[in-house]
Amino acid sequence: MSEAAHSSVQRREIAVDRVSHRFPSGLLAVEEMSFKVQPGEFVVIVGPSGCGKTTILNIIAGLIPKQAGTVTVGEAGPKAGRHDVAYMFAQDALLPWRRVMDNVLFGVEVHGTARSERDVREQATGLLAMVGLQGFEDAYPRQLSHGMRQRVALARTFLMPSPVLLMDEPFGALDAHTKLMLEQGLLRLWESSKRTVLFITHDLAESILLADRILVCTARPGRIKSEIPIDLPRPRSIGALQNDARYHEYYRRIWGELGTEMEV
Amino acid sequence: METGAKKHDLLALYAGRLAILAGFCLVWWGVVRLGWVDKFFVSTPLAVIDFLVTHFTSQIVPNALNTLLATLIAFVLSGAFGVLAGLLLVELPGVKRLVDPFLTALNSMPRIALAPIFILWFGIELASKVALAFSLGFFIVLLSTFAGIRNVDPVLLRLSRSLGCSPWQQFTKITLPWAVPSVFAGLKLALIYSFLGVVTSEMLASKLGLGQLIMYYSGLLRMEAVLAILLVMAVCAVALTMIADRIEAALLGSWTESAQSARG
Repeated sequence: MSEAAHSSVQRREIAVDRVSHRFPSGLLAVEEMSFKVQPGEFVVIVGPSGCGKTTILNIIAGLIPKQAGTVTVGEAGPKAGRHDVAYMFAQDALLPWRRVMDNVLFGVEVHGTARSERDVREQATGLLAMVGLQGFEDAYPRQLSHGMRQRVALARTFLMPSPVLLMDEPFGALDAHTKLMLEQGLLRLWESSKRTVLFITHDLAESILLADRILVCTARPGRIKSEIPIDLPRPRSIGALQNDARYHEYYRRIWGELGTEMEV
Repeated sequence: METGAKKHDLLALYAGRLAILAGFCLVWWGVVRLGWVDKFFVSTPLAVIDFLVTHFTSQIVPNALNTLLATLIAFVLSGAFGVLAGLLLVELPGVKRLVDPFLTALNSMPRIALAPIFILWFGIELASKVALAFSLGFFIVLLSTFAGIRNVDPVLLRLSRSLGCSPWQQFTKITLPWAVPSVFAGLKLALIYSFLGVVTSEMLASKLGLGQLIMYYSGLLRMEAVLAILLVMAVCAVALTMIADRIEAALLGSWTESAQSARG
């Protein structure tokens, strides 16, 4: 329905080809990692901690320089600050001196839209409502709970019309209940404007709920160990999935893949 | 109801403070009256009040105004140059490295040792005491500005990079607002230290000012006058602090006091 509102969202693919990364300490974090994310596809990378998930995301975002291999987002190589790539962190990264509304507008403001513009304010109001923060427009971040702050960050990310979203464990620091609410919120937002999403997590349930395709990562040095398309109907909800045998089947399968990596 | 209760609490608070003051005066009066302490050393509350009343317009007001004027000038200069120098040192790390030992040396010098030099250079009117006060306030503001800017939450800098903030955007939209509470803390401290610097300078040599007045009367062994002037100084210091607090609260409002929690 809000497809029209996001008609400016173009389609972009992410291609990672034989990327390796070594930390200054000599530690090999990522080794010959290759994968693709199709335009409009929601891909989740799961893996044990320290498998270089964040490193690969930082390379795609252009926040750390690529050492070996090739990365393309759309037509171009990675570069920090590309307007067509939005990055959401595990921390909310809200500006404590800005009210919720002005925090949501921060991304588009940096990209050159005046904060006072009616259209964008209306869109922001709509996004805040979608993540359940109606009526909190004038609150300061400190007045909000952890989960609410992360929802503001989610709204800020989606207000930017960037066709590519990189998400680095955005719900990793939240309690189980808040996490479910935010995952549903993310699904709603994504379904209304199919963007290309690369999402990182170590939470299996989260990965199955969200993904079109799951990439399982090996322990350090990180490589893609297997690729599991999630063939579950959308729109999805965690409640419905609990009653779906295929969900549990996926869970077992990914758990099996990961188990050998995590030595549990 | 609630505001009524608050008002009641506030009234009780003021009454309590007044009671402490009255009790102190009573004990003071009592120990002299009973002959436990010689009046010559501690005077009496009544003598102090008497001095204040009889000398209010002739001595207290003109000298206090002169001291406050010097304090204000020194404070404004410290604030302006301190913030400017702090910003400059952050922007030019090479210069910071170059002048660091000199700054430390200047800042750790006992200022009272500089007073004779300033008096020689600037005479015994306003300029010399402003100079001494400035030599205290300037470094306080400089260091707090520098620390505030250097302390920016790394997550916000990461956000800035991923959004593609220009250096100017990053400075005005993230770094500067982030440093404001720290700069304010420095300014408040500089205000009090400016006052101390002015009074110290006046005590060494000055035509006018509370410091000069206190030296004059202590030379005459007029204890009631010395205590009266001390009281005036205390009132001035408290008033300055309260004004600074009010201004801070009005400007920074609701986000600063728990900016800490938002950073967590």
